[in-house]
Amino acid sequence: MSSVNEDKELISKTLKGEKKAFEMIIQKYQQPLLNYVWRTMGEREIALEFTQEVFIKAYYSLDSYSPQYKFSTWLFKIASNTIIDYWRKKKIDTFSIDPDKSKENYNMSFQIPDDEFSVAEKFELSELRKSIETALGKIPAALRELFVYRHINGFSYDEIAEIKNLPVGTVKNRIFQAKELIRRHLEGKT
Amino acid sequence: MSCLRIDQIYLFLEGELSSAEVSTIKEHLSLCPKCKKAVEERRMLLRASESLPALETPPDFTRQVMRKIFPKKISLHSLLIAEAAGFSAEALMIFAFFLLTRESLLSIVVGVNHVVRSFMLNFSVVSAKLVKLVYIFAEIILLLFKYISKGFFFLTTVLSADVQIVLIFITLILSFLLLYGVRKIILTGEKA
Repeated sequence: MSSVNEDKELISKTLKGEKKAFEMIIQKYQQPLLNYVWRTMGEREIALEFTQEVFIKAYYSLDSYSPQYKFSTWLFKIASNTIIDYWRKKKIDTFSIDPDKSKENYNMSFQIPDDEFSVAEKFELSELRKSIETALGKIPAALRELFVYRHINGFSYDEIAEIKNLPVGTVKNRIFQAKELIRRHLEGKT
Repeated sequence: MSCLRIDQIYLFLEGELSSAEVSTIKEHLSLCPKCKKAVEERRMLLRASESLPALETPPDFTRQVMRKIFPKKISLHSLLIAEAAGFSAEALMIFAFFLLTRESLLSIVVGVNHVVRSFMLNFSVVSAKLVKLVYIFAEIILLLFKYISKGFFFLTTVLSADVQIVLIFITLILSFLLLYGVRKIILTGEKA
């Protein structure tokens, strides 16, 4: 059974009152969801609390889920909205939800510089992973979220655009900015 | 073809380009060491990002979420068992009190009443102050009772009915043994 069909069956059973079916949904999505929340927010305890909250919200709004969308997309949309609400309360920059308000482009050049910094020469793979983790915490929260969706959770650009309600081109551009900002941090330029 | 743009490199590495675009880029890479190096650099960055260690959820994560969605309710059956256990505990305490003092509960109540009455008559001024003290004491006891009942309610939501019965049973046995032991010490003291 494909993952999409399996999700549909589990949702249908949950709506009929089978608790076990929702338990299976939690078991299936807890790790990717926690990875997304944790890497995006950076704090383990808050991430665990938020991940629980996302599942609870999903359970109580399950009857409003439309099967024309992928369940994972719907679930991550709830997660994203929960995080954005938190960021708004904490007054953290959330420009990604409103593209018109985005004024920063971090002076990203699309051209390869002649004296480009070499990641391969500076880091071993394991060191590089640690440095990326540190750099992730330093880039703007909204860019970090998109980067995590794409390169940690493995969502396609189309899926991210659907989750975030943004044009695909904007998503691609912001994830490109996130990657190059991480490179700048690795280089020690920021 | 001119040199690659950085965003183009990422799309190439992520398989987001058409086969025609991929062919053109591959051809360019075979001729341009600068672009080839830039591609390899970003390939490594992506590989490292995509292989960051996965974060594990705690083993009881699912159970925690399920408990929040479906909180445990105390069934009528469990409630009746708890009530029965409570009455048994009271009966056992009265019996233990009798064992310890050899006095019936009624005679004790009458005796205490007599003492209180004569005290109130003789020391009415002092008793007025005592009423205030009793009032404060009662407030403290009520507060204590509130926290005990909260703790008890918490335990009943955490422990199953079977475990609760076992715990009540053990507590009763321990209370009984304690009272029996106290009586023995008192009697030994009297004999000496």
